[in-house]
Amino acid sequence: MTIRQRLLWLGLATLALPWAGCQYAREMESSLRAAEQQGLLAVAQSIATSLQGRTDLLYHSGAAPRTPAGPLDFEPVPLTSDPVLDGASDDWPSVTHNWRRFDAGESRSLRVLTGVHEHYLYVLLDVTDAKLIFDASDDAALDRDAMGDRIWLGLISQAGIETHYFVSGWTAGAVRARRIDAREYGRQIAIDEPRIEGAIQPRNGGWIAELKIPLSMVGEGFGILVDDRDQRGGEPVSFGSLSTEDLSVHGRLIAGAEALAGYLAQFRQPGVRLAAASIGGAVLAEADALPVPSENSAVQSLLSRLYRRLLDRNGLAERGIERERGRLDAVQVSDAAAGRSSTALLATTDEKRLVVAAAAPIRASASGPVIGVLQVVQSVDRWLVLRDHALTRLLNLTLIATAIASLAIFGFAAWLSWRLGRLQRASESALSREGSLRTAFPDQDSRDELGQVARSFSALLGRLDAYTSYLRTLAGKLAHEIRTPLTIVRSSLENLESEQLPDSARLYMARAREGSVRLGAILQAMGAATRVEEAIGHAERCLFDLTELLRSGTQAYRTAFVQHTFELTTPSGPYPMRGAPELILQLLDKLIENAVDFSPPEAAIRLRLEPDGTDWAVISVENSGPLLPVHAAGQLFESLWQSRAAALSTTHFGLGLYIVRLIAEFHGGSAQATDLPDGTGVRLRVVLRRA
Amino acid sequence: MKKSIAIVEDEAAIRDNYAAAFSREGYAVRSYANRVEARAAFALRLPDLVVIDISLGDEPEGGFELCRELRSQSPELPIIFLTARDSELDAVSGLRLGADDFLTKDLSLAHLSARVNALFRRVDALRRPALAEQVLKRGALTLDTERYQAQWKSEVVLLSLTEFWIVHALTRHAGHVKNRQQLMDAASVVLDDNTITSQIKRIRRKFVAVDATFDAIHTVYGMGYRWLE
Repeated sequence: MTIRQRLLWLGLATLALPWAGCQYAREMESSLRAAEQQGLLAVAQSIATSLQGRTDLLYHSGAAPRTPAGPLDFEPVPLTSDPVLDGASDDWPSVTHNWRRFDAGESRSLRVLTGVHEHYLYVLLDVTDAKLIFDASDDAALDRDAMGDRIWLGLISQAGIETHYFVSGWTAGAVRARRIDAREYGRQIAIDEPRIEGAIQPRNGGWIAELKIPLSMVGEGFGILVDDRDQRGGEPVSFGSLSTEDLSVHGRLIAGAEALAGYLAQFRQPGVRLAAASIGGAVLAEADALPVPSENSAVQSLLSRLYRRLLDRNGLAERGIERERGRLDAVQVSDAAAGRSSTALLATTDEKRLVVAAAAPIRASASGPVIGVLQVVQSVDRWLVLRDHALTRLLNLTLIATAIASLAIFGFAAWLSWRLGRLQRASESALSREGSLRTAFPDQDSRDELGQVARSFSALLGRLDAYTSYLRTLAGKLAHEIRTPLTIVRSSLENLESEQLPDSARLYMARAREGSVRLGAILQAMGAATRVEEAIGHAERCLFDLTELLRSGTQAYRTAFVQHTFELTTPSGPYPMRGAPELILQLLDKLIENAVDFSPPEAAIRLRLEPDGTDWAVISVENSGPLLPVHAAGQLFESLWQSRAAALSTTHFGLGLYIVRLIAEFHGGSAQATDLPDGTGVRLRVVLRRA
Repeated sequence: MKKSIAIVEDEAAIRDNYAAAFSREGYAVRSYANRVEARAAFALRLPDLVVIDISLGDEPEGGFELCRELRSQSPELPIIFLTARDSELDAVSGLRLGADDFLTKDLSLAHLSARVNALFRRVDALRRPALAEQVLKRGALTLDTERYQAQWKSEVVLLSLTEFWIVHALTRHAGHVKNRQQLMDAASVVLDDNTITSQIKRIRRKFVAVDATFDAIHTVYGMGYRWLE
């Protein structure tokens, strides 16, 4: 992994900022919520206390039910509007809990839903019945043969008087409710009860009836029963909450007092729903001011939606809210029935929103039994919006901060690695510059660690360069220093020659002279590189024909090295080049000297001139003989480098190929040595710029 | 009267060896170890020829300075630079200061004597009218081997002794290629390839200065040089 990638990863660590922001927002939200719940609970408790012992205000019957609702008891749903009496259930709320069901065998059943709105009790009957039989006529209500299906209502009034009404129709639509009055001699007459209205309508596989009864007619007891006949005048099958024997009422109507809704409405405030319920959890009355789920969720920015998703706010809810109208949350109700107040965070499953619900028990007296439950529900949207707003801002800011930090870190990393790369390139190229080291290093001015590295590199290379240049010039300096004593020796010898000497002394003198001549030759060789450098300094470029130079040079080598054969390959025709011909010739001399040194006699030495593109000329000299020493390829063209074998054979100082390099570089080119592909010898290759 | 030679050389052993050699040849030799000493003596009386080392004691360029002073004193005095240095730059500067020859200490005493004799001959010859038989003519070139004077298209080309002898060797058998060794032998010098190259270059430049169209010295790569008429 590069430094850039590592630092980028580090930069990602700043993502902890938004995470911490989320955590903070959550905590803020939960503490807000806790406070809200406490506040709401206090409200619930105070309203519950205000209702303490007020059974008249709570229950329609004026007394608290001593037991929770049983299967025969009806719990009317508080309706928000009057259902239209048309024998259709579509304007009733869709609830399940408040339905009561009575079966008679497989094919017959009665389902009853009750509802309360203002001063009326509404009853919805959904009967499963193979066939709806109407009365034969509207008037023959008591004619047994004319009887069809009919509904019995049993009402116990506030005063405790039990009255039964039957409801029947002779056609689909409005129905009549009548009660049977016994007259003298057992005669019975049907008396119309115009206060009860209703409608009946067949449906597929049964029928639906709606009834409207003034609440004033109903007290504590309420029952309903269906007489189902398979044919007009047939024996009925009875099923319902009334006794099938004598139609006596056993069930209760647990409905809220009419004044209750008004009472609760006093406490109504926006965003809050108040509900009073029986100890069974059935709502007696409510004052609903919960806002409709706002549409602004649609226009909320994509980002804040994403944040909400991140926050997983549905996970906050303790449980789903009771969906049904007319029922309170079962857990809260059971808590309240046990005398405990509670708060809960609930989620509505359909609207995807959260509410806080606080429930408090309503007692008969300060320490009396629980007679009801009061629940206050508040939407949390208000502070969720606040939180979301703050959170969105927070997350936006931290994300921007993260992005900026990451960019900055990335930029810094890029800068660092660029500097490191530059240092690396500089060190590589400094080392690869064969003779003279480049000591100029980038970044030396910066005061950080990299600058220090660059400075110490530079210092090191500077020292190394001083050392190598000392070595390089050592030969020349030595040659110069030795020349003076050598001159003393030689001139002394020459003077000695003119003296009278015995022949034996002359022999020694001849040897001494021979030695001094050799010493002179060595000095000459040692100073060669310095002189070439000097010659390069004074060289003048002119236009000349490289082919001609090679041809005449090769001619000269043939006469100079008669033991060797030379093969020359050049392009046909002149090959003009701009350079210093005498230097090129010296370069060629050195290449040939080197080739002759290593080549066995008789073996051909091959010279080749090849143009490389239009700008470059390549001169190569191939000789058979020993291959290049391993590891030495790069040093071959260094000053003072020589293989051991060569050192033993002749007096040169490893300057020949160094001179080749100097001259090649003067011509903008370079020199390389490689083994021949077939492994029989060596090729020295010099690239020169033509112009 | 004996001809007098002054040697200015800081190395005592070399100085004495040269002095001995010149004495043997019959010259009166005076030797000086440094510039101050030499200048004091030259102020009293000039020798007939001066051999100067470039670096004198603690003056690395003292010889040049001395040469300049001597030239201002006497334009004709033959001056030979003799040095352990063999740098091209030194040779150029030395000759530009008006030295008659620039020799390295590799030169043998015999060759040095030959130079000295030649220079004396030239001084003598300059005092006499030119003799026809001493003159070599090659086309536009006229070489007076007595006075060591070259003329190109009747204009004098000022050559150092070494340069003159190289031109002489090239022109004696015009058209023949003379290799470096032959040229060195002719000039009685021990020079390496680069020095021969720069000598030739210098000769060409001197002729070109007189005649821009000069192109008589031809390089035969790897072989040497030849004079084309």
